[in-house]
Amino acid sequence: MEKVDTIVREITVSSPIDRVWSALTVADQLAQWFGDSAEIDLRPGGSLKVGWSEYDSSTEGVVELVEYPTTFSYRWEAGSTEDGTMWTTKVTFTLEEAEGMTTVKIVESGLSELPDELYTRTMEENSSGWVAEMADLQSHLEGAGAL
Amino acid sequence: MTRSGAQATLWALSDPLRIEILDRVSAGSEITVSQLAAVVPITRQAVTRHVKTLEDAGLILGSRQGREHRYRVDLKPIDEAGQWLNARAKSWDQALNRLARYLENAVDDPSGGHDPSPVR
Repeated sequence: MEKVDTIVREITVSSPIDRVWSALTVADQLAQWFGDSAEIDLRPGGSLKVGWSEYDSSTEGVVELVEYPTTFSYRWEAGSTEDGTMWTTKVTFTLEEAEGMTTVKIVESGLSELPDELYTRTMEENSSGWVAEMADLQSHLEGAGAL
Repeated sequence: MTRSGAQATLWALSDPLRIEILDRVSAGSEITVSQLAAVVPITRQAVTRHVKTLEDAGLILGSRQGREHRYRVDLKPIDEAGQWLNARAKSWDQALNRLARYLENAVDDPSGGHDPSPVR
């Protein structure tokens, strides 16, 4: 059983593992789906930054593991508390290719270490983020329907 | 470090023995530390310590009956921590779905960097 302080999600896409690896690790590509701007210094200890202009926010992190083309991990900011402490979680992407399909597994760990202040805040951010995403999805679907 | 709320809940749940104790407590209607120590493969002292952690996190509630404390489960904090985890998991699902859409849409353009409209 996975520890309760981790989130594990996965998706299988019909792209070769190389392409998925690039989408995750090349800044220009990351900026196409993750945020809308990205910087990565792709080596252990290198810095990483993903920005969301819509929310006028960005998140910084430090690359931990780069094992082409299967494992990419980094530790990034979960937020800071009033005393100025920056709290982080670890994010690991694991890629596996089978018959031309690639499975991407994401594990975010360290959540049980986050102070409560951050839980409350991410809870609020996520719920408003979720509403925004629903609106995005809706316009995406409507756009597709109009074609 | 003191823990409270969701943090205490997740931290309390991050130990397999505490999850086992929680399972036992929720299986029995009300259970004592002695009864737990008889079925969980650790010392009574260790059971007491884990029970205290679970009680501090509000996951189990104790009530004194005669010489012993009896414990039962309170699911509310678990529900709340679960909601938080779900919300966060959902945001990863959204990111992965955007990744899938990006990979599909950029199929003829491996550089992926020339589409003027970001795939969100």
